[in-house]
Amino acid sequence: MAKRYAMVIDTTLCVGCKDCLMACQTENNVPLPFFREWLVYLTTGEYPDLHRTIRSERCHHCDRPPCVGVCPTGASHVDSGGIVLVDPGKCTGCKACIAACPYNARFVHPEGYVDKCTFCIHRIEKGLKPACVDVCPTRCLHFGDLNDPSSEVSRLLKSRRWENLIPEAGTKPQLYFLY
Amino acid sequence: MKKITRREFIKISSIGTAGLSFGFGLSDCDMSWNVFGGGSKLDPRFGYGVDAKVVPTSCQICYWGCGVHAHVVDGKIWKLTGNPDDPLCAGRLCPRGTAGIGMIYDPDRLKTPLKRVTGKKGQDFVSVSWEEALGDAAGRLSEISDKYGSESIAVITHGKPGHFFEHLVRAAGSPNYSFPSFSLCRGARDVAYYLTYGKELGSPEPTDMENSRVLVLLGYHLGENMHTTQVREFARFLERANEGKAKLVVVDPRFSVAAGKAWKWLPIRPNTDMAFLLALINVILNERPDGRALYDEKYVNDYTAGLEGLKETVASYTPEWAYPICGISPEDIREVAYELGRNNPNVLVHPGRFSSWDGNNVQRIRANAILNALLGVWGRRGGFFVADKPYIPKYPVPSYPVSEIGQCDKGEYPIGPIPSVKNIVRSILTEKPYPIKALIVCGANILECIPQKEETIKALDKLDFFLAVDVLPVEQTGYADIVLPDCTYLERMDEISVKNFKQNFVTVNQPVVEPMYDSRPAWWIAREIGRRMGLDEYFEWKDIEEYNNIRLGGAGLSLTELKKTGIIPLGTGPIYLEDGKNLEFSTPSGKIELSSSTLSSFGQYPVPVFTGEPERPKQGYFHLSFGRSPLQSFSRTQNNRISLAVEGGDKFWINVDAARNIGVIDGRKYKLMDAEGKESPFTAEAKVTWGIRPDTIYFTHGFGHEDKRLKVAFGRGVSDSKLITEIKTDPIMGATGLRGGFVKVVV
Repeated sequence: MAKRYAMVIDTTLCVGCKDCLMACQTENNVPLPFFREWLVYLTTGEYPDLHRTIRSERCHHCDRPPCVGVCPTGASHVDSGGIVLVDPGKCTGCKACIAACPYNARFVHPEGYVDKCTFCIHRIEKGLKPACVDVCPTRCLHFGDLNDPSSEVSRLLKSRRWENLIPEAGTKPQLYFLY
Repeated sequence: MKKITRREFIKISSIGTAGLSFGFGLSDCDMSWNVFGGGSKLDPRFGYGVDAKVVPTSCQICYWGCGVHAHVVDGKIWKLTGNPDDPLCAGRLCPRGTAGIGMIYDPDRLKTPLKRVTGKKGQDFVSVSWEEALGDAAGRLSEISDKYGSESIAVITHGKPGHFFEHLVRAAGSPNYSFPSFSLCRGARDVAYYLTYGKELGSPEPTDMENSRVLVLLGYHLGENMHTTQVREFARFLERANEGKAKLVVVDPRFSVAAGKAWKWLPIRPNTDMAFLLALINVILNERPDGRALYDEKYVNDYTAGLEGLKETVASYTPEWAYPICGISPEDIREVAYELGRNNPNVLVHPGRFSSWDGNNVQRIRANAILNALLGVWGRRGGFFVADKPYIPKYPVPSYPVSEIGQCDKGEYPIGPIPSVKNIVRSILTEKPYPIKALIVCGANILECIPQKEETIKALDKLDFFLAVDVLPVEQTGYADIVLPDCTYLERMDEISVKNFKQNFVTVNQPVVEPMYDSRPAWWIAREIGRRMGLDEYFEWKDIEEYNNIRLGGAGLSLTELKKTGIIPLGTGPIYLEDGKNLEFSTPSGKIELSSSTLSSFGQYPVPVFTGEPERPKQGYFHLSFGRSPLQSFSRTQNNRISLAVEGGDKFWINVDAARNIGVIDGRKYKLMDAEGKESPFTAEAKVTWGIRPDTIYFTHGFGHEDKRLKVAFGRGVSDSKLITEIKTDPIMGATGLRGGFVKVVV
């Protein structure tokens, strides 16, 4: 059966340290000041009754990726395991995908093409996990195949309360946030 | 004598650096910097993995010493990952360690030895040979030692590189060696635990958070403070808390990351933790909500001494008494005490690390230590584990000459194993009890860590000779007579580290790549100066490898093996009482001292007492609080282009109501003003939030760098060392309290 890669992010454990950003930056040699991942900190309520959510975010590698549909050259495409990639050789930097992405996950690389999270496909193909998953000091990031019911990610989604972000965009995102 | 104004030289000391460019926005800075030029290959499957050579080493950014795998491609370090065999990080470095390549490849690094010279145009630095720099440094140090006595040479160090300078100064006969980590950080905590349990907690501390059922953090912001081991255990604790098996209590004026995950966040009034702790002790000793004692009666009987004295002293410290002082309601105090009592001994009131808060630190941490003793947590799962220290012999050197007059603050504190760094500064300025005329600083940034920065600058001005050994041109180097460029931890070997944790082990850092520029390892610099001062007998080793080999050989180990794996596990034995660990206490009574006979003999309170309410801020002022960012280590990582790109560190937290009252607007930049009315040189951005008490302002420690040679760190944020004008000193061991400052926003 084909794989469907997904990332499950346990917001109850995330301390917002940005180690995922550091690991992604060095692993993928992302040109500064750009990063493929970002952190969201939300504090709600009023002193002293407060609630905080911290989320590590990146490309959602959607099942219905709008960035792929709008790409005029076919650079944005769905690769193996449902991973959404940009082929820099085909990308003209027109930014249609940037406009189409509801998550603001993409940026123009200084060399002229659009860049974003690849789920570290070069590592997955070697049987490793994405760099951010392997570095997380709290182990709040989980990665695996949702088509395999025995995978860690499948089990987590069965046993825990989770949310997708902006589900109303209809993109079927593959980042799952545990609460 | 003409007054030396070294301050000017910072502006012109730009040897080897092309035109100074600096700015506040990322786009103005040199932020396009990348080790491999950032994406020179187009394939998204791009990765260096295939060709990378992996060198096991040890991280020396925060000196916790996690195991590292350095991945090297074409002679350059591609990335740093955690060594999976390392008991501390378990294969996962913290963000500072992961971003460590930003330190070695920092283009602003010190590149050659520099020497201050006086020419027609005034003073300036010139680049000199190592031979000249070392000869000059040794000559100046010997001269000062001969003229004023060996005590007139002092050293302030931190971490592995500094160790050899401590050795140098002690070999020269001076007792004036000190570490900011003692008197400005965890020294008070370690003294308090030593007095109570006969053992200092040290680093990594033997906390067993992953097994705790109730964890109380007092001003300790785990998750922002990123020691990997602690954060990993904290995360395992949180997992159990999610399952309803554990409870987290966070006592902090600020809604920290940890507070955001807590069962109870108690925004305590700053510097009143003693009242809160005494009330907890009172409840735990006196109340029996379920018809039985909240403290571990058998444990207290078997292992502690001084219960009666304690009971008597804390009798009046009821929750109702504490409430108006600390602002935490009697209901909350009781609820926390009951949870601790019902779940003892698998609970922990965390001792924290940074403990130099006010003028009563040892006693406050004593209250913490006593509370833990009553709950029976020493040697228990979820409390403190007790692991015997592994033994690897020291390198054999002749004993150090003993100074007859002693350290510069001798006799001022009953427990003062080393002088406080603040007192070294004082003795330089006052020449009392004797002059300190020469200073060496290595591995520490004394202008950023010692409060009352202007005074430290005056002291540097007054010195006859100041030697700065550093990786980066931090501000203090601008005041030095000789500046020597140290290698980073990725280019040098240091002395082995013998680590005492749940699994004991030994580790070492080794050169991953050749030293860049004309930098040399600190051990070599110290040895070369020592030899030139005629201290050859203290520096007989050929190199650091021989030094380490002799140490390891003494325990039947070899450096060759250690270099291959980066980690060698050492025997540990049982670490919990229930697994057969025998509890012994090196205190005068041989027991855990609830009432300390040692303190009594020094004329100090044997049991902690409440000595008075802290000062409240004047109209318009706030308590100054500061803490850690997970991306920064002390004041030594702010110029790292990778971490700085995601966090500028230039925000201060202020409560929504307080901001509204004084007209501070979220996202705008403001200067802060110290208690004496002096404004900070730079601005910080207001983060207007409900997540802090209305009487407190908080920002990240280590920012506000004033040296333009740090091209990306310069001018960002505000510095606590500059804004703290009033300090209180601990009467027992001389810790310098850093939480007593007040600030105002310049609107």
